[in-house]
Amino acid sequence: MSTDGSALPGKPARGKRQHAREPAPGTRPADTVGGTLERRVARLEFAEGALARLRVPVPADDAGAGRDVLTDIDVLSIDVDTRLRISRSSLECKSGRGQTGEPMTLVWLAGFRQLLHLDHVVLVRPSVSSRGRSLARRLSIAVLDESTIALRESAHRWLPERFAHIDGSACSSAETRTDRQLKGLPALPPELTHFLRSEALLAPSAALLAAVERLGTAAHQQGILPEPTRTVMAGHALMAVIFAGLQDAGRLDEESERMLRRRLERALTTGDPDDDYVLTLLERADAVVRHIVGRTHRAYVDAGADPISIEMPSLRDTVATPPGYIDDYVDLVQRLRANPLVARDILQTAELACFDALLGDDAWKEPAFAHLFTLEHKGLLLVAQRCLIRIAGRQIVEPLNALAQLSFGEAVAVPDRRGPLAANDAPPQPVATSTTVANDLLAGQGDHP
Amino acid sequence: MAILTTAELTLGLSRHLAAYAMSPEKAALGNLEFAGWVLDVAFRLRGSTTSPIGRVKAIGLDVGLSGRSLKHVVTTLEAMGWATVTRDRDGNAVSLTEVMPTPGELVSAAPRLLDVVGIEPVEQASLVLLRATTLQPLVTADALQLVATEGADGNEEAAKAALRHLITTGLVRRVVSDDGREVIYNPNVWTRGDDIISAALRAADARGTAEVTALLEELAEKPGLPQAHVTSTEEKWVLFAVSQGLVQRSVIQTSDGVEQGFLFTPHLTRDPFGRTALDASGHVRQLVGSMIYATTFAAYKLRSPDVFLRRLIANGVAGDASPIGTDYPMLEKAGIVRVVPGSSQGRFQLELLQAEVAEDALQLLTASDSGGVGDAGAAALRAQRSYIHIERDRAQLAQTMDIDDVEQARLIAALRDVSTKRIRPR
Repeated sequence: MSTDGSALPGKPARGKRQHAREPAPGTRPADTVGGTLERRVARLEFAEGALARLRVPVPADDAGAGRDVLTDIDVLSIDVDTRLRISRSSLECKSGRGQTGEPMTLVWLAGFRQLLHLDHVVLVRPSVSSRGRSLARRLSIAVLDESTIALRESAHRWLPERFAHIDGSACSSAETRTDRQLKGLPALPPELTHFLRSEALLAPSAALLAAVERLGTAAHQQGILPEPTRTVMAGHALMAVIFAGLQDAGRLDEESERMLRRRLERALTTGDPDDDYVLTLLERADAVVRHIVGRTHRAYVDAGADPISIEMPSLRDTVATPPGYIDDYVDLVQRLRANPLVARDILQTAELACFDALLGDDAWKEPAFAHLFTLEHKGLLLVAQRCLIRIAGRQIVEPLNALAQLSFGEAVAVPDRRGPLAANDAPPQPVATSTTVANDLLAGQGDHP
Repeated sequence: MAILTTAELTLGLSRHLAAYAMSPEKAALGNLEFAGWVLDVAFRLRGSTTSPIGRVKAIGLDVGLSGRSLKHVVTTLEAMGWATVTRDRDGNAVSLTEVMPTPGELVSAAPRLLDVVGIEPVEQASLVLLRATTLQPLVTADALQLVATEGADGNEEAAKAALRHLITTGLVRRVVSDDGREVIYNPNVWTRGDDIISAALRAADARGTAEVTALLEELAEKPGLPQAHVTSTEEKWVLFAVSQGLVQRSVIQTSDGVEQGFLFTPHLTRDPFGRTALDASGHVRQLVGSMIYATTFAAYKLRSPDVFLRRLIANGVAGDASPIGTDYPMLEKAGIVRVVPGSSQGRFQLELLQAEVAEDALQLLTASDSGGVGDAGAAALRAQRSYIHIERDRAQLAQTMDIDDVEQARLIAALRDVSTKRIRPR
């Protein structure tokens, strides 16, 4: 849902092709009164630790031609807590004054929360009546008015006004050009690029990984992508991998790594993390096929033909082969979970690095963001980049190679979170197994257990 | 996949050499020793992502490296693309950021590491020789031939030098048989003493060395593999290896009433690196293998492994016997169980650390062929079983044509059975 229409986009001039032109000044969503309010709210969300995106389209389930977007979320905000549990909030910005439409919007928001399984919804208006507040309280909807926003903003003045997807100039122009370029790149399916660019923050981890993998294949078919599409798509792919990793890292407290791996494998092969019937079904189907083929063979042999041996592919094995990047991905998940205090910021870091720094803006260098650019953030970002290479291939990741050259507060000392080396520091799994085994093997001792 | 990865051999050799004083033999294997240091530091750093340089130095000292050696190691880590060092304005290192791949990939990257380090033909030959003699005792001439073709690009001198160095450093033992032929083996794995040479000679006489190698490699990968599942060689070589003591076989009755032989090698305790790729099922196999092992080889035999596992899952601990103290080092290393003191001195109990592995193992031990509901890991294991089962059926069917329709009906009924189970609410 967008603004109250206080400034509608200009009507296209009659009889002329409008789509190739720039919109008239002051008519782009970002330049309207409602657009400004959205940007202010998103900036505030970012300042308070959330990843915020503006005007996120919500896809319709029964998408038909021209009806594939149900509505949009004015400000989508992703909060990651210190245990990497993720909560999604929608902030609905209405720039209209007075009580007009207030109860309607609140009731609408309550349904919207249910539809998208959002954790929080917030109504933002220049002023909120006491009647509206009371209704909002009953519906557990937070409200934010102009004066509250101004008060909060005063504590975050050092943050730049525009940066990355918060209407940063380089990012906006790159995204607009990407829109245009994508129309000329037939190998990249629109639903895929749209998913990664707009819907990724609402998607579960397996869907994100599958999309990134598909992007890698598609980009490979397309060949070299033009700039800025290359950098923009690489940035979105990295964000998708990180967001998937954070979702699974937050889940590591509830389910073991083994379980996570298994659910991922199922989700990426059969499409449903909880469905283990498909594989069993295929296994049985294999048995039937083998049997009938064997029978046919024997019938031919009985009729006097020479026996021929034919390799039978197993349907089950064909379907059940999980993608090769799962180990690498689980490694990323574990690293994120191992350092939650840094990992909780990593979406913000990636957003600024990919959509501000790499696209040529300077907002990321502001002191307000210094806490997002430490060496520990860089480490996690590079691991995510490595994981992206495994999933989507080198070609996609190439534009991100410049990440390693960005300045990440090299002067500040890295805290030694793991403390001094303990006597039993080597043990956890791989190290312990490898070294002790190697030791035993070569230093002798022991035959059978 | 080789039974001992290059990474394992390099790391093990490097640690072994640390115990020796500087000598020409040790110096000749110097690059391998260095590559081992790199792997050692890599495995210890892996997973830390960003570490202050002080921590890296502490790890270096723990490995036993001087500051100068550590510097070379870190440079090699950078050259491999595994780490980057951040330096301050004066050029002093302040922190190290590692992006090392998973342990499995780190292990498979070892050959590339050896290229980067630049090992000599003698060292290459040493690795091949060490792997071959660890796997099985070999007649020296065969071993040298193998090494010259595989490891040293036909350089026989290098192969001979490598053998000399390994004998000096106690990793290979050479024994001369009565008929004058020489046999070499790794005395650390083949601890039965010099009797083992007769097995090597007989295998060589029967021209079955390659067959036995393939079998041992397969078994080292899958300890406790049912005899019927051996794919690397023919039945007669399995029997030969068992009769010569190169492979041990235990026969037990499985839950479906079939007698099956389970095969083990002396490498059972030598679990290679804790791999993660297909580890999930590897762990389950290990546990199943150990349970089967305990029912047949232990001093006080375990009577029903499924009851034992059930108790282990329910109570978290199980057993109270002396063999437990010695029989499960492999499971302990894999982090599946821990051995804790039992009711009295000399008795031990098993404490379960990874319940899921035990649950899968129990499922495998008790699974009936009609089953089919379970998780992917166990399903994959069970799949092997049911596939074999179908194959066996086919073998029988080949002789008895007339029951084909019955059999086909049975298979289709089984297929239908799965799809109807799907309807059941979960």
